[in-house]
Amino acid sequence: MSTVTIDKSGPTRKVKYGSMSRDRTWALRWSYFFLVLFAIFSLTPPLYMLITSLKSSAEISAATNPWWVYHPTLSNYIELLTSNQFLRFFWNSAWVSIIVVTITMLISVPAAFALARMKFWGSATLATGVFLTYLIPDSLLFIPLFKMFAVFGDWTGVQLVNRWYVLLFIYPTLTVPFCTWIMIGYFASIPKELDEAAIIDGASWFQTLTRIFIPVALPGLIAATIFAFTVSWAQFLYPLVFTTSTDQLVLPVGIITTLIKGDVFNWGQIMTGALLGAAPPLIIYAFLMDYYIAGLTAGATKG
Amino acid sequence: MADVSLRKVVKRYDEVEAVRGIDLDIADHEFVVLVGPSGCGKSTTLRMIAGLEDISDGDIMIGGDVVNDVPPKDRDIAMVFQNYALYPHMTVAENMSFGLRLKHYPKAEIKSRVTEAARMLDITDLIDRKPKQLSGGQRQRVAMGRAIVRNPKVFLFDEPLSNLDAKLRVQMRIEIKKVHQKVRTTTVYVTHDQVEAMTLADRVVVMNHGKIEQIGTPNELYHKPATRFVASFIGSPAMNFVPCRLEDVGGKLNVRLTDRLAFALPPARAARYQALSRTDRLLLGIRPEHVMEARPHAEPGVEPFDTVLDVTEPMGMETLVYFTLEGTQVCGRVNPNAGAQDGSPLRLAVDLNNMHLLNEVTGAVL
Repeated sequence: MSTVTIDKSGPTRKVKYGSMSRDRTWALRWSYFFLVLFAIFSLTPPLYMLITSLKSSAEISAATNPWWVYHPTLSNYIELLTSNQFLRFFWNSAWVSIIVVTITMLISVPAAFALARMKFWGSATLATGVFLTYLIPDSLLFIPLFKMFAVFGDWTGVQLVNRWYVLLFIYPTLTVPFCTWIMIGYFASIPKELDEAAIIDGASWFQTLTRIFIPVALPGLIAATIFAFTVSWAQFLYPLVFTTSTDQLVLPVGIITTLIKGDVFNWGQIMTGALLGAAPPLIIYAFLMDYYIAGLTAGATKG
Repeated sequence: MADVSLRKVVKRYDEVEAVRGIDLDIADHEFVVLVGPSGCGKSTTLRMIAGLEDISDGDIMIGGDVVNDVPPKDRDIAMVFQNYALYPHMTVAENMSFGLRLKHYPKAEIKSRVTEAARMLDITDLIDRKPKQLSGGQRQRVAMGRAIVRNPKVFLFDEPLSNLDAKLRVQMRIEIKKVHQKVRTTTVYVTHDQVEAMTLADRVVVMNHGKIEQIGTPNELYHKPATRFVASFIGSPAMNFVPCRLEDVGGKLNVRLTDRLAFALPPARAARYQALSRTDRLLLGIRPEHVMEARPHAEPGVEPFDTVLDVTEPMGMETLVYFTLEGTQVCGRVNPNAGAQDGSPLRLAVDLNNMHLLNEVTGAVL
């Protein structure tokens, strides 16, 4: 049997890298360059905090290399974690953040749904208005807010100032507008036909929200939750103004007010407290990022 | 199952009237297709029947009851959307049963209905998949399944095949027809594709500028269009329109197209057009299949003429030929063996037994 050889190679030509791939290589190089640059820029302070937190007060004030620990010690950690005061701050912060996140979601998700979908008179203006309130800085708001709560206390006898739970009323002024705005964006990206299909299937507005919109917009919901938690956890100005008694303080203010005595800075413990304070948001980020999968709407309509 | 009636239905958006007074009666079990160019108000009409749009004026009745203010969920309708609108976080089975679950149907009943619909649509194997794992055609089937399990009074289809490729569209068209033959639910179907309209419908409603141009069976619309719009919209390639006028020559009625080209009308047509004014500006409407190659023995009413072809388009079973009459392009369909070639002369014939005469100003078919 004769064999037939078929030349499959076609006309030979030198393989050249097109301009596309050359552009891509350069784009990648530049991306890496800037990513590394920013990683160094943003990771140096926490690294410095970590190094300092492992030093004793004597070593911190000694004139040695600040980037090296010669006599590592965990005493700062042990002292803080066994101090009732520090745990109290931690506890206050946790309660405030969790409740604020819950309040924020309970308000902003239905609000965003109404503003994005139930076209009512003035809904567009209201949606913009919600965002504008977010743009007013807290440094402008804290004096009138303080005045409001003080007057409220005078009238009703219900004392809110200098109680940790006053923050539950104040933080949502920051979180609700922004989370509502994020959720409006997410809800608006859900195809209109999806709620129309739900309505024809017999769902009420509330069922459309809970059974279609919330599951579909879950990535957005998680983003908003992370935001609300971070804002409540890291807020400094409001708790500084509204709470003064040591047992009512939240973590950021607690660290500053108790660990700085006059002009004596207990740097080792300040750094340790700040590091420990940064842990919960980090853990939550790491945990929720797994669920933060965009593109959940894929397949709803023509993909 | 129910009949659907529209009485002088109007939809206004601020200044614009999208639907301008529509009267339509759809019988029980009937498959009616609303067809027209985009912006003609066909989708708005469908959405008003669904209850997704308020009606500005008039009445809509389903099963004899006025449903103007009845919310969509209480109208007992099911709708299939152009982009399927499947719930992305639910499986196929959950998608199909969502409406039944909201109404708290017993689990066994839901299961049997979903299984039955899945079997009918041939998607039994896909029942546990999520929409994103399905192809376009499969998603379309699920969307139809979601409508079928509800067992509603009326099916509403809003351009359900527009997102599919040409081959799949033909296949799903047949599928929809089969489903309708089985379940016999009253169906209102919106499309801009006249082929879809012709092939699916018991009756076609042609809409233009928010009004109904004509209602009729596919054959009525094709052979007896009422207006120039319907005549040109239905049929592909579209009907030719050539400016003409009538004249009397030796006691016979002629239709004159150009100075050199005039045809004697066959007796039936001559009698029909006898009363028309000889000075009116008219249009001769003739479908491409009635402009063919001239045969040696001319049948009565088939008039030969010579022309020079501009362009030819071989389609396989036929060849489309294009030529110009007094500045108007005319399309004809000839036998592939007739020797039609670009730029060459050819003797064609026009079948005046199937001609239409239109008023050039009003567009009415006379």
